[in-house]
Amino acid sequence: MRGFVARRMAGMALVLLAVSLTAFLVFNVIPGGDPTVRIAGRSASEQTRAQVREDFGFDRSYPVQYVRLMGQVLDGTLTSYPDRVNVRDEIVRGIPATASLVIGAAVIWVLFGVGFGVLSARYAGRWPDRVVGALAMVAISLPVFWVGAMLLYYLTYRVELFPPGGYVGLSEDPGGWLTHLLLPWFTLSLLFIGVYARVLRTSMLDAEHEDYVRTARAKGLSERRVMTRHVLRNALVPLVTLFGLDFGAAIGGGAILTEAVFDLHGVGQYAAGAVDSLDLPPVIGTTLYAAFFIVLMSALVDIVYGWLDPRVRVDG
Amino acid sequence: MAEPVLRVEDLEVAYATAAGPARAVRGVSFAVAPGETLAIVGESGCGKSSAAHAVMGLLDARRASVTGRVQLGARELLGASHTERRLVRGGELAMVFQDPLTSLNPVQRVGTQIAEQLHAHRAIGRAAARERAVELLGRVRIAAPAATVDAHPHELSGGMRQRVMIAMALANEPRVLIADEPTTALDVTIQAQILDLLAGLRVELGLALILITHDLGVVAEIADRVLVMYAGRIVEAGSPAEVFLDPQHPYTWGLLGAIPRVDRPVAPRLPAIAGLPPSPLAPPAGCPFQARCPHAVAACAELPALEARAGALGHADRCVLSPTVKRARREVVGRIGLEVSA
Amino acid sequence: MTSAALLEAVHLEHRYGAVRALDDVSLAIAPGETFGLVGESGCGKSTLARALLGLLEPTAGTVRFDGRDIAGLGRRARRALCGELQIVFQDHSGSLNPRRRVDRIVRDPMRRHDPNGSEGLEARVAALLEQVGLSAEQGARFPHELSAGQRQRVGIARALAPAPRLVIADEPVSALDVSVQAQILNLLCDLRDELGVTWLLIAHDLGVVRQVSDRIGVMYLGKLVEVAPTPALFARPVHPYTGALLDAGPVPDPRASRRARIVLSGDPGDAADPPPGCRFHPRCPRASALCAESEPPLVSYGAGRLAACHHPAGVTPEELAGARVAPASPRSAGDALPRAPYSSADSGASSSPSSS
Repeated sequence: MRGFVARRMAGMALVLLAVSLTAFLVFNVIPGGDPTVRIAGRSASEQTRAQVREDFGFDRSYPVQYVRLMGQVLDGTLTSYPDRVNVRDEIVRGIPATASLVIGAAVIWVLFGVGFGVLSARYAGRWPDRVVGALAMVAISLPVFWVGAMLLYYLTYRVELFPPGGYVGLSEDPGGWLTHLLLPWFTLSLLFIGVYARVLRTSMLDAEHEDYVRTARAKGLSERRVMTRHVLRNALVPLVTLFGLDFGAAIGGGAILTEAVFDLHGVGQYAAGAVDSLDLPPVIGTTLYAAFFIVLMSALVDIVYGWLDPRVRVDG
Repeated sequence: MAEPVLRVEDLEVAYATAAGPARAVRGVSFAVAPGETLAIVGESGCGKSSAAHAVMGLLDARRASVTGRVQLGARELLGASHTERRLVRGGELAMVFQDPLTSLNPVQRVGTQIAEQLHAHRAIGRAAARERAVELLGRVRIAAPAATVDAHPHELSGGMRQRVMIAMALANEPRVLIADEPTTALDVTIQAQILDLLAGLRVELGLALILITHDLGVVAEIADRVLVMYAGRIVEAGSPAEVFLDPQHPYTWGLLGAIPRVDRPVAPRLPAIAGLPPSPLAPPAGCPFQARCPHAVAACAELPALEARAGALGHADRCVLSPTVKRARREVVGRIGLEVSA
Repeated sequence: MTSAALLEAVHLEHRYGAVRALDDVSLAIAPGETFGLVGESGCGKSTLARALLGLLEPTAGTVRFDGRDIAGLGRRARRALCGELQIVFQDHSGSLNPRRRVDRIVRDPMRRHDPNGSEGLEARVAALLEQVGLSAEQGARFPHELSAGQRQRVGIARALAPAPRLVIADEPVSALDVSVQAQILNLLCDLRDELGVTWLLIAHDLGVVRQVSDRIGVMYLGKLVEVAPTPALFARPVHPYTGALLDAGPVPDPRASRRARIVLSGDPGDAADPPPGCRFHPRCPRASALCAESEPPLVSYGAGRLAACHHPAGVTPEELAGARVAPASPRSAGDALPRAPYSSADSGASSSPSSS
């Protein structure tokens, strides 16, 4: 186990290095991103600009700039170029919103995704399966921002059932926290419900043909027990991997569209804003944050997988 | 034969396919008494597995239609309710499958799987179930039952896994055990052990054993009666001595001749049956073997009845040729040491 | 080991981590012969096949084809070797590309390895298909449209397409029904007679191997325990494992099953942790204290019969007197020759029922 953890941590360091390097290089290559102009202002004089360049180190070579940036990341002084806001503080500020959104949505999408998946598999080929299948396709195809925008329009504007976006802290106002999150939860989970229902359906139908399910029936077990203990238990395993990665990506700030549409000011929205304004430090910060979560979740998934399927034990 | 514990009459199984019904079993009847071993022999597609699954009630009603009569003791199974059938399955009527690696749940411990079967059929506490699981593992001659009970299937060898499957099937003291190719996936030396085990259990427990296999050697080892199936029908039935030493049906000759034997001199060529079995989508009307039979005559176009023609009452076959002609035409006498009786 | 051997394994060893899949195996196959290799799962026969083909690099030892060490071959020479050394797999459905037509599957290796180029290729493909019993119409189909037996014929045709000198057939009939198996075995015999190809046939069924082979080798837990010409192996097996295999195979004769026979106890040992001394001794009805201490050498008893056992059966005192340790004997084995042939009066355990 210790070997596993050590290997994964080494892997994570490599991933973070690669990710930050890529972000850094991309940003320095794309046009229009010259930070000097953004910091100094458009009408700054050449002298001001030269000063800015020197202060920020833009006149140095790329490796030096990179190392400097990484130094700032490590001691928490990474600062946004135009408005001199500390990146780490901003990310930390956005975490409650992102976490509330993603965790809540995850609970919903797992429950409903699995529920619909089991329903589809149980009635495979018949009308409940077809209906769920069609709905799943719709859910997957609808663009997240459109769903969000529609919900906002109809349920917060036309009819004022829900607050029109924004985030309210749980400790501040639990009721408000909930009402502000209901629509975003629905919006974010819709896509995943569709995917998980389809994936689980296939997985269950495959598992049902396995020999050990036939044995379970031959043992005289009730159909319910066969479905839960044998079919579902084995069919859920691939879903675990999927969930790990989806959740990791979302909590790492991947729910950008939902956060933006509902103006939740989470990490995703922050990242989006940074990209929009071509501001490198927050981009580096949020990218590293996201990569960290994905690597972490991927390691957790491997461990859980080994626990679920003893044939694939994580070697220590 | 003593009073049979399981009686099957006119069993027919047809699968619904896109190309129409696939008639896998076409009118099969047999009976088996306690302590008796009935072997059903045939090649892939002959319907033997389908018949077994139908008796157990494992066929999905949406995909397969099953008609006929299956009587366990005094009870008729085919018309019974789902619940009734489920209570019998794994209880009085148990089944062991071919590949123990895929037939056991890979993520569950072996003891749990055995206990599950116990719980499904009787009120028993967890500790008692576990004890019984250990006892059953010992009954199937597993070396360290208390340790094995907590193992997962992939941690055990092929022979041990098959013993686990047998232990599971015995959990509720069945009256009939159906073994579908129980030794095919195992090494030959392990196969011998498992056959020994099954033979011993049959005597110990008074079980009726139905053994389904394509391996004639296995049949000769432990069967009391043999049914030879082809294209969904029984073409010959009798004791092993009758079927192996005085086979009456050309398909049986073909099967016996095709086996490469170690107990007889090597033949330069194995007499092989030309062609392929008929598709269950288009089963032939008359004798099922007619198209491939080198001895077919015009009368074969009508399905011969399964009746005793060779003298011995229990030895029935579906070939209209007279026994004298058959004995003359059998080309495998020298190869398989047939006794040409008077 | 004669220098005329077509394919040779010399002190071949292969380990997967702790598992010794092949432990000092030496074997020579002469041109034109059919050699049958028998053993149960885990004995190493498939690993040996792969090592002989060059599909895996053994951790020790050499493989020689036509006198040349195949390990040192460059890429081009390696590709040429594929034309001379071919394999037929057990899993015919898995080893045939489901998206290609049968005739194309057969044509490709023919084209790649044939110096004659593409003239008359179609005709030669058709001729080969006919030789293995497939019609032109079947050649136009896809593998999944054919029966198991027909697919196996395709596998055989594909192996023969580049006109190889040696073909390894790895369990070619074990997944087939008895009557189809007989057809394929007859085909192998015919091809052997017509084409003069050398065959290495790997199987777990002694009856199958006996039907086609000139010589048979028996493997157990990574070691070669007996080699003999076919009639001799069946008439007078030397090694107890060979005897057990012979006895264990169920015979389709109800009278035969009543005889007393050896039923081995226990499971085949663990290749990662083999028993000391002779690997077979924990299950052996003839085992003595010597067997637990020292690994028996592979001894030659004359007339091509080799066996590795301290208590050999089936050998006359004359043969024993003329016995010598074979060059193919593993280096780790002792060199003490057996003193006397085994007689069943010696040991107590012989026909006991299994108890594990």
